[in-house]
Amino acid sequence: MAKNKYRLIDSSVVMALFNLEDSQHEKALEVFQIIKKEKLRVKISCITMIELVSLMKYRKINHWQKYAEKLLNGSLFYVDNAYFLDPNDLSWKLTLKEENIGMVDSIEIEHCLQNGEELITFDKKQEAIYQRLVEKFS
Amino acid sequence: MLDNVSVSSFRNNIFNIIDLATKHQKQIGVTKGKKVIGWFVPNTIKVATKKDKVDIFLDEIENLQKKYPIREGKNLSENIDKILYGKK
Repeated sequence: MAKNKYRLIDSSVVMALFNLEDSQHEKALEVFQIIKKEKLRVKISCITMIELVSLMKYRKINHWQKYAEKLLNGSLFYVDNAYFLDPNDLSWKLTLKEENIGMVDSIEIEHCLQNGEELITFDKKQEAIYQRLVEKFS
Repeated sequence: MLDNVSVSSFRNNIFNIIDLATKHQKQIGVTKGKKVIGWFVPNTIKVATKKDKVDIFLDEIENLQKKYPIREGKNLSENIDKILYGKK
């Protein structure tokens, strides 16, 4: 499958970057170095933003809104706001069929497959399903 | 040093010599006979380096982490779905 320069970032990567204690923090920094080196464009879905904001707010992370604003200010991330849900969508079918991933994960996978973009995630279950579908559609 | 030029050449080609010296960021010796009687020293040009937007973003996050560090344990990134939606 042809890949363009866009990379869709999952909440797992962003949270690993923000959280200094995270076991995947260094890996997240490496992801951003690759983005820099390969001059990639970074996308984040509005539903991923909802996940991140909800997570940080409810865990009462100190000044979470300042972190969120860095994703929303357009300096690096392009926030994808367009989603129309339909029961015929791949994301809906994945949500019903795949036990190990949630709807947000499914929508991210669908978005990447439909747009020829690459998903960057540290979620092993989501990654496995994404790679399986990439192979299937390539 | 870019080169030595005679004082007469320096006078006659002063603008070209200044341009060359500035462009190459080199000093020019001005000679009279075999004796160096002066130097033209160009101002140092500060080359503006445009910072990559990834570096800017990472710097901003690092600054936030210095002021408001997030220390939420080593497994947070792996447990987002579990925290938000229950067991996965």
